[in-house]
Amino acid sequence: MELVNHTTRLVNQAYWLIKIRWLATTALCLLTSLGHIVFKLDIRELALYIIAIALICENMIALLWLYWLNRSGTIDNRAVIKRVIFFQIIVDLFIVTSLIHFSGGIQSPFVFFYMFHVVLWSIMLAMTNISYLVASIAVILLGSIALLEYKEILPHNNLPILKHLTQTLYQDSFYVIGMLSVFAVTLYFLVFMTSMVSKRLRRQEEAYKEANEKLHQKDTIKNEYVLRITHDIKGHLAAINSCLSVVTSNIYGELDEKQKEFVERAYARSIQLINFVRDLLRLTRVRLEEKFEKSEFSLRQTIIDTIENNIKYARDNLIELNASIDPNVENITGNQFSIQEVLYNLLMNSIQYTHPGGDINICAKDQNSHILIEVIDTGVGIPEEEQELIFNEFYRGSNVKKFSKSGTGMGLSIIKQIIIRHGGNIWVSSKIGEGSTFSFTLPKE
Amino acid sequence: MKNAKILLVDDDPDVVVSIKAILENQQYRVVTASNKEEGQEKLASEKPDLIILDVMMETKHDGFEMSREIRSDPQFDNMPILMLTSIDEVTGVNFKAAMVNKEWLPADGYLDKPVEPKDLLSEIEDLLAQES
Repeated sequence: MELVNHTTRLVNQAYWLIKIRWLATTALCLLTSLGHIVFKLDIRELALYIIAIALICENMIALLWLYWLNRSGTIDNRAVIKRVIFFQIIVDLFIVTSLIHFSGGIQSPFVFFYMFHVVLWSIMLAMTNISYLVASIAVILLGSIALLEYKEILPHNNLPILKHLTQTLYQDSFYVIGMLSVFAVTLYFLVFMTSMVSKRLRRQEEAYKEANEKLHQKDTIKNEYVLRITHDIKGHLAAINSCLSVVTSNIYGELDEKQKEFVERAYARSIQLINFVRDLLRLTRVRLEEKFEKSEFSLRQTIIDTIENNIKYARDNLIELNASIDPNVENITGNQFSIQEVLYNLLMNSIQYTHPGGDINICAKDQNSHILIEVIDTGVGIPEEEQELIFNEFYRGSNVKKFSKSGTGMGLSIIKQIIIRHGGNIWVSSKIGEGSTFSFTLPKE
Repeated sequence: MKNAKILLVDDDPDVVVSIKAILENQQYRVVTASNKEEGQEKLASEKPDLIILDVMMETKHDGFEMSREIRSDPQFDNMPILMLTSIDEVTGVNFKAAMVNKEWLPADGYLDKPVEPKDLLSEIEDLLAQES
């Protein structure tokens, strides 16, 4: 899982608040027009429409503010983004207060709307002090409305549905004080709980992040260790191989039949072991590379070159090699050498496991942001239960050993690592006796 | 170009003796050196026709430095340099790609260790033919 940077998350949340507000504005407009046009209810529709306009204005200001931050490049500044969110929450509190005033004051069911802001603030910023401040502002705003309506300084508006039942509750001091107290306690308790939970989650996230980094470091150390040791082993192997090659070349005279056979066995095994070590080194090297050096190159040309370089080898094995490349497939950004290695190795595998008379097709298709490349052969195929496993290190298909004893079982792991490092994906579909299709994607950029 | 004089610089004595045997079998005259300093001395005194250089000797950069020094010396700027090494696996340098940049890695050929005698011999033949 990718851990999202805190500031990026805040920016997303700022936009998310704006989105939610558009929804709230639409709902407010719809309900108000439904109330006074369809049901002909006695509501303060003008005031409610003005509130909707205020919401729209708030959203426009917030959007412009974010746009300006984006342009000036200060969008990464955490404090600045916090200000945008704080502005939205405070303005929202005032708007909710006016909505409550026009929908029944202390009797309005919309008093619960304050909770959204308190919860949002506590979760988004995990700054307990400011969350209590937001809760306090809400309590003060609701208290002021209740007091002003109680003292009849502000006119009281009734929700039409409550008209017959509770007309005078806002004049009842017990009700007002009781309601305000329960409201305040609920809000503060809400801040307390959400802050606690979100703090705990944040701490956990930090711990995971740290553990992940440590794991990554250890993996790097392990890979460097493998690299160093394998390199040293390869040095010795190269020397052994080099010395044996002098004997197999008969430089110092011919060996007798038996001597020759054993030296040649040893020579062949040293080459096998060197190939194994070479693959292990390559795999470890790909793993260790933090970033591939990427540049723009012609994928079309790379595919054509790979085919041209191997067409003779395929024909020697009586295998037909074809390619179909979409006209749109041209340049991509990537590491050309590694992609060439992927194509070459996939093609070699296909040739190796295809019987004489078979054919191999390489297709490249343009898929908007990606290119899909398929290497399709009519070879021996891979048993279904092994198709997932063949990309694992050291895994060799059960039916390929009779074709080649010397495979290292790392070729496909190297390919997979390279493709993943390019942000692509690789998979296989295959049927025993009918052939295999290796498909991989590469992003254009 | 039989009888050509080849300077072989490698710090692995077993590799040196075996490559020397293979080359001498083909009537090449072989001079060996086991480090950069010895290599430079032999280069000056023997004036070889071609040099086979192990990139990674005692320190990672010995072979690199030596190839650059050879190229900057006007009396050797035409002498073919054959790099014989497996350095790319440790340093991440992609030799085949780096060969394009002659300033950075002034070598004319590159073979991965260990190399089959026939590959080594045909590469040497090619390089010597290009020179003459």
